[in-house]
Amino acid sequence: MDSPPKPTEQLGELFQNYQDSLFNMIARLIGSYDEAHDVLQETFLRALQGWGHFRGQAEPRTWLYRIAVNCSYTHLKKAQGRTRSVNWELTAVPTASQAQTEQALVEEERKRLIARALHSLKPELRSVVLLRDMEELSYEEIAAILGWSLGTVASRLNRARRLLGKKLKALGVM
Amino acid sequence: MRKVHCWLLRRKLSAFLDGELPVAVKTKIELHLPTCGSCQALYASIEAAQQTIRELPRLQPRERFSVGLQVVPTGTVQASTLRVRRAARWVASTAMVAALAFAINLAFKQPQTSSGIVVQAYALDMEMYLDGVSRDRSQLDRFAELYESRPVSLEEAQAHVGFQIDAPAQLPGGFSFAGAYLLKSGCCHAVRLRYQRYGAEMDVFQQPKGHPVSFGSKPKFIPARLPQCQCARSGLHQAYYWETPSKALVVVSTLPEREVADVVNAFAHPEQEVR
Repeated sequence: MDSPPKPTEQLGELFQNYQDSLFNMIARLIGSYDEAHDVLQETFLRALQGWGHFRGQAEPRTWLYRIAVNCSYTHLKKAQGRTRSVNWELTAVPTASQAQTEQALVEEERKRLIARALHSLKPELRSVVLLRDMEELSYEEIAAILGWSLGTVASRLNRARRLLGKKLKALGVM
Repeated sequence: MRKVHCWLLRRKLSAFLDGELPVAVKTKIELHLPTCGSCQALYASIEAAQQTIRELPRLQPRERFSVGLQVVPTGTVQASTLRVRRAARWVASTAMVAALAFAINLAFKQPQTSSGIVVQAYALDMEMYLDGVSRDRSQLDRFAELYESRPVSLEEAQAHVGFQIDAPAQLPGGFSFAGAYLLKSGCCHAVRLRYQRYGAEMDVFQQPKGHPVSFGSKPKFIPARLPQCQCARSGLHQAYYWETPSKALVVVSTLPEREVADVVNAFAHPEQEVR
């Protein structure tokens, strides 16, 4: 007779499936590769603590993203007071062969500038862009994660992309 | 008209790009875009921004967390974490309460006179400083007086000061004695006699001779009606200052100077009958 799956195991499976996506979103949102590990850990810890209260009213993935976004906001708020160096090199680590070519260096620089333009947006605009364009979530899912209405998601996404377009033009990326 | 149309549609270009618009609005934009250069440029910019963000590589954590979390029983982690947090919260709140109590204690600390009479810091409206060492404001502030919270009997006051207190029961103008207050000011004791009548008060300060007296932060000295006296005005208050062989006296009141002068006269010549 099969025993019902234990809650922790279910959560472990969720972590297994989504931790890469969550990490990517957190790192881009807070702008630091190193600190993203801490925020991801905090996200998992909070999820673990709240797992018993999770009633399945939302999609587990949405629920996890929501926790991650809240943890990132908290982290950004805490980091406001102290001097914080933003890690602009939030790009894939170049391999030796890539780095040798000039083209690869130009590409690296371009990605760095894109990351900088993204980080110049307010956290709320940054999060909506990341959830839509990097994580490819639907408007409904984004609305559930960020606690906004569908109209707010659409208007803020529009504003974020327009601002991003201007920044990228100013930096010479586009 | 065209401007309004553009403005309305531009707000929806992002949703149009994502295919999240109702058919009617979508059709409008599809018809409008080929005809409007600025909207076209904006749409191209939004589209390019979206593509650019998609170009960014996906970042991966250095280590995977799932294994570590799976082997830890939920209950243990939850309970221990909560216990630690609860303890930390308790310590923090206790520390805050203790710090607050300490601060309140410092702010309202009640020094005691040598006889054990509780005195309390009292900010004077008229900024009357007995026993001040100079007229310098910063110096005077350090000698801010401590006033008693309750009146004492004349006998008790007399026991603390080194001079004979003059305290007639009645003063000109219908003032009657209402109480004596001990003042602790630096190195000596002084006394404040409070006289009252309906709707008015008058204070008579008495202190050992030789201690300078300052009155108000920027007192205006005016000619005194009585010889051997100094008269100053600060705000609404008048102060008359004079010295006897054993002590210095200051009469302070908001009454007109003439009435104050009558009181001074009564103190200076107690043998005269009170009018």
